Amino acid sequence: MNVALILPLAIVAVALGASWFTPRIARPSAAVWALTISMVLTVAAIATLLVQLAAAGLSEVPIVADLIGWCPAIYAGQHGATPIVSFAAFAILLFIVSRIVGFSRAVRADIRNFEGVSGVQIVDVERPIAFAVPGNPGGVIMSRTLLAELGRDERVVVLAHENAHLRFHHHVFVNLTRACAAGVPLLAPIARQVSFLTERWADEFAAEGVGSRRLVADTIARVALLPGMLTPSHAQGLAGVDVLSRFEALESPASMPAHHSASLVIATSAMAALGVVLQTVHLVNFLVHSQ
Amino acid sequence: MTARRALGALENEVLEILWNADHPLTPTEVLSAIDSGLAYTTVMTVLGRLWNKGLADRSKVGRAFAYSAAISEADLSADRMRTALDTSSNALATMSQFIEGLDKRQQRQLRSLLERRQQ
Repeated sequence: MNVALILPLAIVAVALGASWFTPRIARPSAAVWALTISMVLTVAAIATLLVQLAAAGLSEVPIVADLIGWCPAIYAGQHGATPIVSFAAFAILLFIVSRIVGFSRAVRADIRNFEGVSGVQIVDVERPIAFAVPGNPGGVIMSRTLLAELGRDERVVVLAHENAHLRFHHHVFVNLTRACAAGVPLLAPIARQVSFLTERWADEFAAEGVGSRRLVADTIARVALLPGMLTPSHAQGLAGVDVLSRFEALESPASMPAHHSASLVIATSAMAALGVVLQTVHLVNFLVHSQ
Repeated sequence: MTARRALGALENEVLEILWNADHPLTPTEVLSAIDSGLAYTTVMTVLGRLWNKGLADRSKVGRAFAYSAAISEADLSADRMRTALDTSSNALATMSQFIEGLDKRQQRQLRSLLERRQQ
C-alpha cells in the first residue's frame, strides 16, 4: 500500500481528531459544525479510498483490464491492490452504503408518523415527553402529562429548547452524523457527541431566551426527576449521562468567546476538505490514466 | 410550502410569548414582543390558529381580542401518531426528546447535585 493512498485519509483523520476537542474551547454550535463537517468528510474519504482500492485491484485482473481498457503499463502493481484486497474493499463499501440507506429509511419512517404536525401539538400520553418534529411544516409535540407538571417558566424553557432544534435544523446535523456512524460504526462516539452538543446548543439558546441559565438547569432537573422518566435498565444509560452533563454545564459559568468558534470550524473543515480533495484528485488521476 | 413552514415556526414563538405573559395579550402586544418585522395580519392568523387548536383562550378587550395561553383537550388526530407514542414502540428512536430517561443511580446523582447547590 503506498503513501499517496493513505496520506489523504490521515489528514482527514487528524481534522476529525482536532474537531473532537472543539467542545472544550468553543461554543456548542461551533463544535456541532466542526464535528459534522469533518465526520461527513471522513466517511467521504473512506469511501473514495475504498472505490480506489476496488478499482485498482480490478485493473490488475488481465481480463477486466483488456475489457475496459485499463492501462497496465502505467498502473500495473503500483497500488499493491491484489484482487483479494479489491474484493474486500468492494464488500466494505457495500456494507457502508447499505447501512446508510437503511438508517435513512428508518429516519424517514419515524418522521412520517408525525406528518402534518405544525406548530405546537399537545398530546394525551402518560409519558412526560417533548420533542421537535423536523419536516414540512414541522413542529413540537408535548404531552399533557409533562405540561401539567411544569410551571409557566418551565414550559417556556421546554418550548424554547425545542424551538431551537427546529430553528437551527439540529436534526440535519444529528441525522447526518448518525448516518455516518451507521456506515462506519467506529465513528459512533462522534455521532453521540454531536447529538449531545445539539442539546447543549438548544439549552443555551433557551437560557438566552428566558434570561436565566439557572432556570434551564432547574427545568432539566425537574423533568428528569419526574416519575415517568425513570428507566428500569441501563439500556438508556448514556442518555442519562447526557442529562447530568447538561445540568452541570448550565451550572458552571457561561460559555466560550465567540471569536474562537468560527476560526475553529473553518480550520478543521478546511483540513478535512484538503484530505478529501487530495484523495479525489488521486482517484480521478487513476481513472483517467486507466482509459 | 415555505409560508406554511414559517407559520408553524411562528406559532411556537407566539405560544412561547403567551406562556411567558402574566396577562392576556392583544395582537399589538404580541407584535411588539416578537423581534421580527411581521405584519399585524400574520400575527392575527397565528393567534387564530392557536385559538382553533385550543392552545389559546381569547376574551374581548375593547375592540380587539386579547389572547392568553390555554391547554386544550388533546387532539391526537392520527392513529399512527398514537402508535408511535406508545411506550412499547420504538418509533421515537430517531427523535431527540427534551430529556431521555435516567436510571435510579443517575437520579440519585442528580438529586445530590441539586442538594449541593442549595447549600
